[in-house]
Amino acid sequence: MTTLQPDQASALGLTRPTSRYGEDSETIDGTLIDDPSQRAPLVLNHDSFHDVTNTICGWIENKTPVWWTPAFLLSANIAGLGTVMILYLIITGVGVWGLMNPVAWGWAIVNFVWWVGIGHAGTLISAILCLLKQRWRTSINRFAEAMTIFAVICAGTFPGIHVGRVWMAWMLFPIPNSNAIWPNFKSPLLWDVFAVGTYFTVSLLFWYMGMIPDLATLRDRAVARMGKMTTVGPPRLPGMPFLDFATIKLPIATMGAYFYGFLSMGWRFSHRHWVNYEKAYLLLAGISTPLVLSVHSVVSFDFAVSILPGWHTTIFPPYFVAGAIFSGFAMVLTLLIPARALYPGMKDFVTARTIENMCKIITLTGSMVGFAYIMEFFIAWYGANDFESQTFIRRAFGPYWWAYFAMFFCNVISPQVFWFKWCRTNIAFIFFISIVVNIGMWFERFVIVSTLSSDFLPGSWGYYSPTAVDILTFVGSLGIFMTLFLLFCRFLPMLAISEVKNVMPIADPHAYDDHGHEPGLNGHGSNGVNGTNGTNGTSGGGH
Amino acid sequence: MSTIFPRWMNAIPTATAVLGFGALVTVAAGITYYFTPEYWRVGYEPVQPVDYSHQLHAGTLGIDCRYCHTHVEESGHSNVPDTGTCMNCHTGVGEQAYLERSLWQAHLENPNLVKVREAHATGEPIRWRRVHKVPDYAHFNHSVHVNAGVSCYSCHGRIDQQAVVRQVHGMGMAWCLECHRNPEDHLVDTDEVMVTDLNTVEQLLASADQPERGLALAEEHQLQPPQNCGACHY
Repeated sequence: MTTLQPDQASALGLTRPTSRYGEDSETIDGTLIDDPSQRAPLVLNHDSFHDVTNTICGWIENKTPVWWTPAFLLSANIAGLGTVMILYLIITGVGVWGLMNPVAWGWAIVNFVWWVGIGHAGTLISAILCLLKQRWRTSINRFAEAMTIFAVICAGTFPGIHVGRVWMAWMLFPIPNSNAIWPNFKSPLLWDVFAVGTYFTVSLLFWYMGMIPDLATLRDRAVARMGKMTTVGPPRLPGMPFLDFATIKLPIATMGAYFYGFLSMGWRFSHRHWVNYEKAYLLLAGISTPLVLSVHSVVSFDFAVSILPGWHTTIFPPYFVAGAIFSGFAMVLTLLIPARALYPGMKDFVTARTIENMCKIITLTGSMVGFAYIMEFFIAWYGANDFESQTFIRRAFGPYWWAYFAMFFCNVISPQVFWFKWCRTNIAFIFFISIVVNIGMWFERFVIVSTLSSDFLPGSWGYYSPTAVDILTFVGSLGIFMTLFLLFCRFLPMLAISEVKNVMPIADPHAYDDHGHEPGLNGHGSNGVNGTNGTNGTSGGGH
Repeated sequence: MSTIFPRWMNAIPTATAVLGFGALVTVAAGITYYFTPEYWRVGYEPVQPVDYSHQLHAGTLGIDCRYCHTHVEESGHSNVPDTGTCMNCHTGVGEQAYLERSLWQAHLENPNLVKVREAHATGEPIRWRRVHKVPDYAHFNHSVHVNAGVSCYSCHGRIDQQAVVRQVHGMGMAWCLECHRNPEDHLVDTDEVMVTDLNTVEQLLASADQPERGLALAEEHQLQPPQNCGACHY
């Protein structure tokens, strides 16, 4: 086969064979290839950079999807309910929660740890998988990073409100004050403030910086349509003409041009910009990498540094980190699977192979968590400490046995189904398991916190149960999370456009060279169908 | 592509950084200056129901603080005297012998003393206004401090020069801790000088060898001012 001539390539590029990666039971969308000599394609049905830009920007520029407004209203209402609960707590005091002696930490810390843990997937995908050159991450990293930011916001709410007197929450930080006292630097609770604060800052910078070229793309596309009026309002339902007053014309494109223009900070797609961008991206990836491991280690110190049986164990940091990545990937799947089904063309980027890879990570980290659960029991027996063994017997067979078994089933047994190919390729089933894992990880934190109910003295044992305010505040935090997430889906680029372009065959100058191999879909080899010869390797702009 | 933002907007990031830093400094400086008991509490000088002058009684006449505040050495609370204490001198019986006729007349008609005698006669106490207020969650024990050699002067200043009592220190937690962390700057030897002799105490505390002397006193009396929360907040 000879090298394609440029004109020939352009001509061939006009024909878009959509059946190229035909669906079948083995490879699903054509990406689950077991042959190691072939690389699975990372982007399907998009032949040019322009196609990719069109699809991803289209989700923002097209009419609001019909499901979006009801979903947003529901989430926003739940978020409002959570806010009311928080206000009620602030006005009345922490007595509205189920906190008691000896369980002085209740759902607030459970929810905090759960949310922070969920946030870990974003950094893992954007930093560690970036450094490991896992190119399949490009289609999910923006999504996961956004999820990280929103999860950390939800997490940060709980320590802020559980101090009781929220107007004193500034005392969490070491600020010089007229009481001449500092927070206790020996306390992991203060380390938590630094760990989570750093994590949030770095994640936010990473997310925003990575988004700048894509925001500039959106800006340029909006500038091209500036001045065009768009009709917005509720759907025109028959028999409800009174709703017509709410239908108005707005210069959405002009508003978008200024909005994305402001956020893109003067990005012009110059080579100098890209050089700086790539450097900054790599630097932030390097900075974030230790954070993936450190943040949840520090969170685990909240428990491990105390001298309570069931908490005072060295296994806590690695076990928390594994659990965090476990729950984070589950949450990414929980959000990704509906989005993938609802947004046209998203399946071409988030391929069956990407989902399968995430399932494998869930099985890996779930097994690590399971190992930790079993090891805790082994050490409780092997350590021959009466209090420790008593605590673990009570954990599994005491008053909270149901929480322990819910946790064990959801976290240890359920992810093992992904050893079977059917389980990790069936999208609906994966969605179900991802929710089961999220529930399990919540129970894990509950099991750890409820350990407080029985310490050294049986005389001071108690039974903790949450109040309605506890439960509704937690539900409200889910609402805050979903509200932010839906806003992200609607107004910001859900996929990293420029990064996705980088992993397409067209971005590789040698993608269509003839080396005499079988036609490959990516990397070396030629599919002989389309593409431009000698395309510049830099990721393209938005035009 | 045409530009949609004017050129001056290039200055926004720099301006945000500069103004942000300026705002931060301003807020920090404002809080440091205004959000302190030194700003809000010092100088509190309420009008009392009777114009009692510490300057006259403790200063000019040289009456010891403990003549009126009798339990300051034994009790956590430093008592404000009842009118009976005033009447030890101001009955009008004994005073006549010491005062000239004209002065005596004025003394009898002094409206402040009229109020005191009235209060004494009716048993209705004079409602003095509290000057030095410590929040209810912080406990201060007078006797412990006085017996350790902390003079009245250290907290109340030169009360023997005040015609109307005013607060001279903020009495915030930082102020308490400053002394608890470095007590040597505020200790006097109770064997040599009365803690109520404010003039001498002021000169002693201002002298160059005070820290040395204070350290020796702290050592001698085994003074270890507590800094744990439970010392005051119980």
